[in-house]
Amino acid sequence: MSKLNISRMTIMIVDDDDEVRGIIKDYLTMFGFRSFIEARDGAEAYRFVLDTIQRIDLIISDWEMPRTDGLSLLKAVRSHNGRYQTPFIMVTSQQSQERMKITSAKRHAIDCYIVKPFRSEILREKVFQALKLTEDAAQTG
Amino acid sequence: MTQAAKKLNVVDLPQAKKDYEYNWRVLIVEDEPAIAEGIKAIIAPAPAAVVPINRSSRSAPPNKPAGTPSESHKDQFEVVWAKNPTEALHHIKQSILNGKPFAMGFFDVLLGSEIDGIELVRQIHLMDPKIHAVFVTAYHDRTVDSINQILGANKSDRWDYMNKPFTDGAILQKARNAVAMWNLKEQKKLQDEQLSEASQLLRQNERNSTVAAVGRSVAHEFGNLLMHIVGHAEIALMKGDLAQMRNALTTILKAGETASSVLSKFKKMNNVEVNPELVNIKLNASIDEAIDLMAHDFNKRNIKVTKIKYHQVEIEANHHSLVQVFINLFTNAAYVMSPSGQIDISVAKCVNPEGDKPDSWVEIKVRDHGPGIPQDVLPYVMNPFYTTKGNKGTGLGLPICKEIIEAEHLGEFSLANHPAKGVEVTIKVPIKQEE
Repeated sequence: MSKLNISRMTIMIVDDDDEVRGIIKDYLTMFGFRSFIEARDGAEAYRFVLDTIQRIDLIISDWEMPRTDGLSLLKAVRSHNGRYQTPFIMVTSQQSQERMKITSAKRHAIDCYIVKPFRSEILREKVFQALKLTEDAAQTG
Repeated sequence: MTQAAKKLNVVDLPQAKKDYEYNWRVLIVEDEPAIAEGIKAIIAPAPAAVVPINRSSRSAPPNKPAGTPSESHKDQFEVVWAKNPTEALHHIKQSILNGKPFAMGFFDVLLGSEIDGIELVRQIHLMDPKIHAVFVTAYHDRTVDSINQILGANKSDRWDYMNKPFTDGAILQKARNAVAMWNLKEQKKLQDEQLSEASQLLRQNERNSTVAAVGRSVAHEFGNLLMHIVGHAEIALMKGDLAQMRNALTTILKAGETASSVLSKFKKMNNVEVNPELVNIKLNASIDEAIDLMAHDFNKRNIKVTKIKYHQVEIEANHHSLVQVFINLFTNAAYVMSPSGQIDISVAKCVNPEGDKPDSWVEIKVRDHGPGIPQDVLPYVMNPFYTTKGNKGTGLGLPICKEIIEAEHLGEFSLANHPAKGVEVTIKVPIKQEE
């Protein structure tokens, strides 16, 4: 893997909060990613998922969103013929319901989850873990 | 909707079970020793059960366990004899001090001393208002009405009388009845206390689950706000660009302000007032606060709130109680509407129920656009412990709303299916609480 690869990857960010989406995008830009798709909820995101020409290497989605939430999006992605293997990071702010969420996320093969608020380091670690990249590869590549 | 009403086992509640000790204690006030002995022999024939005159009730033999199934049918009278009013008052005083009051007493009317039996009972009732008195008299020396006048109308259920000569059966049955009455009243009082304790606890629990529901929404909001703060700070630091920092700080300040306003609303929710006072408040502010607190839930379920008629009205009420009512109603409405829906709210002044003072009350209507309530279920929805939400509901939401509106604010609370669609709750409350 090389830096070139990272910059060519497309990451989909799904969150109903514009600010949060912007922050995640800024973080990812600092890690070297260049290409992003943004969506406000699961339904909007799923339209991109259905577009077979659209490249999507990783999905980072909030759990709680109006209309279609993150879990519905995850289920839809996992049952999609071409996309079922797309790495998926779930973002949540409800630590109290963590156990319930981990259980249901595992059932749907979530790659990792992050609890809001998080620092860039955590996001970096999770993103690289989900993409099965090593830090070295990303930095020296 | 055929889900059976959820029942809460009252025995599970703390202190719901208290041992009740049946009170068999009888006082005889009689100047004739022969008559006193006669009464004693009738109601407490076993010599062991008779307490000698001068023994204080402190040294009385310990009670046999009362109320056990095998013994409950047996009389277990404990009898104390007083030969004059002074002795009688002494025994009463001692019994109160020892926490072992008499259930009833036989009082001779003519005691051959400065006061008669009726005046004695009047004095005794000042110390021990619960004792049942049975007057025993040889003559019709007092009419029932004159006794009632002396003892007071509020004591009319605490006394009875019988004429000499009496039969053994009459004495025994009077004693049994009076003792049973005393104990029934006492047990009822105890049950009422436990019930009110339990209902207070349930109200508290309901309040807690409301707080928990709001808490989840607050947690979500806080997660995002903290993300704004942490994210912007970190990005600004990493980039080190002055304009970026300025932007970041502005956003952080805004997030901080929003967070503290969310927090202050949440704190208010948690304030439990034991004796809430009704003060002048803006009714619309209570409704708006409930909408604000539910905003996350509404957003998630894609529910639109429409204020059809929204007159600003100031009323004498308890703000926090009203917020609780509206949160309950909104929660119910949101629960039945999926995946999207609408809640209509209207507020307008109206005439009082008597119909003679226009604009002296306010009418609030909260209507959802859900499926409505089936006719066969409708009569039960206001019953405590009835819920259609399975384990998610306590079945106390509506009864508590009703209690807050009707008991606390002396208003009216009703619920019906809207002719077009959904459920409509109508709340009417007086703008000014009358004295």
